[in-house]
Amino acid sequence: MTERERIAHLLRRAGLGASKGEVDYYLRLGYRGAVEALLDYEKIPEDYTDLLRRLQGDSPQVRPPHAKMWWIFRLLTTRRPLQERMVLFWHNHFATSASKVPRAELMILQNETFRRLALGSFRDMLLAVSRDPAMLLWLDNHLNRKGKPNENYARELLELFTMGIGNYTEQDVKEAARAFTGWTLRPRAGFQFVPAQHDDGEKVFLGQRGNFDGTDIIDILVKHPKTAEYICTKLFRFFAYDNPEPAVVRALTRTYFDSGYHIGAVVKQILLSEAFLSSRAVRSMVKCPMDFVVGTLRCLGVGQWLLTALQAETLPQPALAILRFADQSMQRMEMSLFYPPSVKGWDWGTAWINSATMTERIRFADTLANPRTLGRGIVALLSNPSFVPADVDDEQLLNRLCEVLDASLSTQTQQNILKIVRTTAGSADRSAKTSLMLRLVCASAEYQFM
Amino acid sequence: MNPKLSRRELLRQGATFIAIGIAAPGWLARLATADAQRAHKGQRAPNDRILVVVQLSGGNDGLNTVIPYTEALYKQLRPTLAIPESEVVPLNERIGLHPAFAKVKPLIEAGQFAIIQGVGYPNPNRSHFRSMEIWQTANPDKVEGTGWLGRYLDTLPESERNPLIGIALGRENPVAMNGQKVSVPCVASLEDFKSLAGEEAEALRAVYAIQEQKTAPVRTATLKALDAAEMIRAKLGQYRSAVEYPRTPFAQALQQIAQLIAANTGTRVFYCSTGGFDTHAQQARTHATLLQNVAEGLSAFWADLQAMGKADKVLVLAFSEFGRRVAENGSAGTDHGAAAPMFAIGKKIQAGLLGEHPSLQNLQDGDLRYHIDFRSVYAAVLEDWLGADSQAVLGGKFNKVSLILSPATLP
Repeated sequence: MTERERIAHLLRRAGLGASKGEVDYYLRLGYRGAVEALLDYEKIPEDYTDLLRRLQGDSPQVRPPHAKMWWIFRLLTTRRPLQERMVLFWHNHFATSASKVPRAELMILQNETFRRLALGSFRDMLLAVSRDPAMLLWLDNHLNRKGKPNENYARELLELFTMGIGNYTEQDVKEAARAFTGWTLRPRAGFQFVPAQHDDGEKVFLGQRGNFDGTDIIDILVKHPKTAEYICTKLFRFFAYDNPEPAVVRALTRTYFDSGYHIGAVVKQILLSEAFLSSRAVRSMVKCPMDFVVGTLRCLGVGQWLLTALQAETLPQPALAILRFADQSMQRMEMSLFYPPSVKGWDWGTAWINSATMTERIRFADTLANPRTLGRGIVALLSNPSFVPADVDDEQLLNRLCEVLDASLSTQTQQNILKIVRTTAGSADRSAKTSLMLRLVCASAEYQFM
Repeated sequence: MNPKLSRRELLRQGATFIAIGIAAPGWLARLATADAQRAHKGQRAPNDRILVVVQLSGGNDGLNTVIPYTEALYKQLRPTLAIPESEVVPLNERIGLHPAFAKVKPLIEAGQFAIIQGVGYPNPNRSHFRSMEIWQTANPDKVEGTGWLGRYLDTLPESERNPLIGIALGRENPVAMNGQKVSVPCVASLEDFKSLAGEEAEALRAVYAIQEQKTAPVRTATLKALDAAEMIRAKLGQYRSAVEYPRTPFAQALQQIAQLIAANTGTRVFYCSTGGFDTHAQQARTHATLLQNVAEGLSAFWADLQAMGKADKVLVLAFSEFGRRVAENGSAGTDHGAAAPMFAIGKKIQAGLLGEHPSLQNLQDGDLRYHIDFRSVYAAVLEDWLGADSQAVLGGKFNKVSLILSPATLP
């Protein structure tokens, strides 16, 4: 791989797509420098303080569609792509659905917690999540009281958030539930510990005995080798590939402990590993709907355009239309942000692909390339002679388009597309050709991978 | 002749003759050949019974669905959640239904609705995800990549496997429907699928005319969508429902199934899900709404099938990954439990209560004990309804429950 290809791979996996502009930018830093720059995002100023209010418009309340557009706007425009990708990782890991959280602000609050602690200590993250209002409501811990505990949070904490299934007993679930009694909410004021509702009796948890409360449980969990293995494996799979070699996971768990449960250290090690840059990793992962939609739009310069639109006094209608389109498209591809299908999060990899979701990916490509609808600006942009000189042939046009979209098509697919372009009536003029090519590239099999 | 038109035309005619242009997809040629051969030899058509599986995700509180309303322990262990005896819809002097589930009672009285009590499996797993996987793969012992319905579809002769041989409603592919050979399309909405046809479809087929290992899953899914869309477009007639379906997503999914059944798509297994049953807290109202949606959706679906004269061809089977803890928790909800009832609808079934209600005294870690293995229900459905070899599909011999009254004969 050339350095450029390595940087593009890094941006596909640790960023939000390899737009030409971003590849150019990070290429100057070299691979290691690019990894460090992505991780060290705090140095990049970013200000979205007014965004939510502007998306809200005249609505007195924040509603779920506002929250969704708010996050999608950030995904499309951020200069801290690794931070946003980590927010998605945590949203999937501590999967909380707005379907059971009555106030959308609480979903945003949780999302901001994920963002704030994205690459920090896993212990801090677990503590924050255990006190997070949306989580308390989602898994009913706000009603977990001494005497007759509610097991919902404790079970998922063990099964999905830390150790993974098969490493604890039903009794451990019950004891952990007792430890989290009294971790509740005060209306409109957030987390509250209510001693009267807390069972401060002795518990036996994972072989240890004590008058544990929730913090003690988290301390036991975060130190457990199974937790290290579980979280490191999940991070590796998120960035690189499934079924990592045991030696790779072992090296990561060492870093997890040596760094004091520091997620940033583990992520850095993944991104600098040989495994990450191996042929097993490159272009082998199915794009999740976020990558498919946001990655495509970022490559086409929609993010830049949205940032310009934000400077206007009121957000222009086309900007809102793009955000809605992105949200609805992802939703139809089975990834509705803030609405994971269950507390387990989404199934990744080839699970994203079935006949219903492919139908939606094809539909997305159609809309994007349709000059009569949303695609008007995009097709015009791509048809501009400054993008490709007017006298190029079909093959050059297709190559240029693939370059912009960071698409790597097989020779066969390229030939197939060129043949369709040749034989399709009404695609003689440049913009019709561009539109047809854009549609077919995005719908192609290769384009579903990153 | 335009191959596109001829293919569509063929589909309309039910694909019953051999002369098929080379452009026709393989499955269509296979079907036509098989049909013609059968007709030639004077054989009867293959088994045309349909199975509709309904998944209730989250762990339905079976104890508050099918209620031992006279038992003192029921009221003791559920001080706030027990349904008062006066509200229970009695089925006999001991067992009754949650009032929100009352809509199924007429079906029971008509001999078309069965409640199979106390269903579960050894060493119950209380994780939603593992337990759901166990039910879908029919293997409690190890993680398996194929499901019981997919493995059933695998056993069908190739001549019967059309692109719609199995359909999962929705945008998620349940592992239950994965076979070694067969994988089925997911259909979120028939309308969306219909748009995937004509010139657009031809162009996509051309783009996907590639052979590459890495991208194969995408190619398979897309071509499956195109085949399914084409067949749906060709087959879907002017279905008009005789009944009004509730406006819930669940009922809408069932209506799409009815529409496909009306269109004679040759589909043998439909799969659909409805969620929200994980009622850990303040469950009374939520659970009532859930049960009402299920009962109303199913009864509308069944009425529709009756009106179109298809009900005797269809068996509906409903399950959840587990029941819930017998004793309620401190937040007026229930935690994850074990055994629970399954439900079946059909015209040739042993209706009413099957098996015994699990004892409230003899619990296992606070949960109801199962006395019917869910694979015994699957075995009955596979053998007696679908005419399949249950041992091959389930990987073992299970005693069939006596659910199906007129067992299938193998074609």
